Amino acid sequence: MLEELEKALKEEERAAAEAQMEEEALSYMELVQQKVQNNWNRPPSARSGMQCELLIQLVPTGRVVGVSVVKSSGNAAFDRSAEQAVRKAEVFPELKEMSPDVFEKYYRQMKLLFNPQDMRQ
Amino acid sequence: MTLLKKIGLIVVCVFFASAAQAQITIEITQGVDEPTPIAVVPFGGVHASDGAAIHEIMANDLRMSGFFRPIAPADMLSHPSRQEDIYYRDWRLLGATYIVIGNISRDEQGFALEYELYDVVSQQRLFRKITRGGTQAVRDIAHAASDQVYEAITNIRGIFSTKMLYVEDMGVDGPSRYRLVKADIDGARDQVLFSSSQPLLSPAWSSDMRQVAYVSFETSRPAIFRHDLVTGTREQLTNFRGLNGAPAWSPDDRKLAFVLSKDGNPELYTLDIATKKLTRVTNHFAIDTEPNWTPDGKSLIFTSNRGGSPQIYQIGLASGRVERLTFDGDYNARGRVSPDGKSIVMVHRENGVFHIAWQDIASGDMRILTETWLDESPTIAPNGAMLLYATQYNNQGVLAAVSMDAGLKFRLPSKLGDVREPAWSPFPK
Repeated sequence: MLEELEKALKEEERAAAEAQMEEEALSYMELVQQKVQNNWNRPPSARSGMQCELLIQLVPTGRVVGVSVVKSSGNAAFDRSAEQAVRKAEVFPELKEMSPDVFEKYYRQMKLLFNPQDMRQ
Repeated sequence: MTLLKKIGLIVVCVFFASAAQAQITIEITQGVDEPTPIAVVPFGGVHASDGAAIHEIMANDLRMSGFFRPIAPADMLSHPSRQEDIYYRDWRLLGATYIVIGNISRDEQGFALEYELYDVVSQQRLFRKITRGGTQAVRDIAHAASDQVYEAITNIRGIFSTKMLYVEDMGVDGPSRYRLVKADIDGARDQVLFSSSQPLLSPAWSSDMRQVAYVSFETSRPAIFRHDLVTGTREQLTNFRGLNGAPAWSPDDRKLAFVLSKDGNPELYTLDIATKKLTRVTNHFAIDTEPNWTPDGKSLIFTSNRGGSPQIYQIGLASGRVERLTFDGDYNARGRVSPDGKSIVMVHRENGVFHIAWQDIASGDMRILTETWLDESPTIAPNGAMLLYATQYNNQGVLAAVSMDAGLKFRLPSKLGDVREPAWSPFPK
């Protein structure tokens, strides 16, 4: 009975810790999104509905060390503009303040989905 | 270490990796669209120019597209002509996203331009090409290179080697007050095709670029003429009383559509050039005018006030079925269909001010493209990405270009007279 209680408590602790980590990870998402968006210059052929997915690698200083297209939009100019947006953003210095275990779990490697909502049809 | 232990270790590592790493995906839904900085570095080797050096003609082309912001050579820290001489960090600091470098040499033909396009941000070469031309073809070499650079970056075909027609009014009465002029799309190499003491209107290119149709008042009333650019011969096609106007070539160049008022009020007709058979298209007491063909050759879009105010309609040539296309604003006229048939560009009035507007045919979404008043006569580029229109600047009629994404407007160099009625050529076949 005591063993079961202990197990339940540990589970709750673990879940709470994970929720906290997730919350911290989420709190940095907007600044990454903002900086990439501010550097994203779309080509004239871009349309709403085009989408591409990039895999990016970061180091704890927030610097981008790797960018690759994992899902192409089918439009090379669009894909290239997405890659350039990340490379021009270059570094997210605020990530230095992130807890190291949160960084390792969520930010060492992450995906960016470029899905413009403000382009003509 | 035994094999079993090794395997055990790998399995443990894999388990750790999946628990230790979770994937987050951030969605990027907006951008900031600004002209892309590009450095067209003055080329090494021999000097080749025609009023301007090749790199200057290219920079001007790219700026005109509305999509690029060329970096001035004076601002460049160095003028590399080989890959080894590119220090990416310098160009990053300058803010350049792309760089074009190269070398001009002489050969038996004339000039050869070897050039390369680099992505400064990713530090990758996009291409290496050679373009050749005769000594008189410096501008053609430059425009061909601009086309290649534009297309490699945007995936859209470049229009820098295309031509335009326009009418120039010299303002002083005389035998050549009105001129029909053909020029490069950047305004250079203008040549007068025809001049007249009477007004010329509505020039239109055939799709093979061998012929031009226009309205001339030389017979003291408006008539439609066909002008063969290869032989120089002209043929009067209409001689009706009243309005004879707005000629438009069918996509196969076999017919012209135009407006005549001979049967009581302005209506649309088509003329078969070979047989001279005239076919009436519209039959309505309202004004029907300004026809433009859809790319499939099966319909005409036109301006009509049959609904109470000038709006744009479409009529199927086989069925005769009429459909209204514009509903925004109290005035929509002078419609032109885009090369892909999906959108139209027109003169639109809002709050008493005329603008050029773009509308997607299927959805009806409309977007204003120009802000200056008195904008008229839009003509669409054959790549569908830009348009030319006539406007006023310093009390003079001039031409301006704007990208379909309502990017930067580019005013073409003004001429002596008032310039109007531009017509953008098709792609040369």
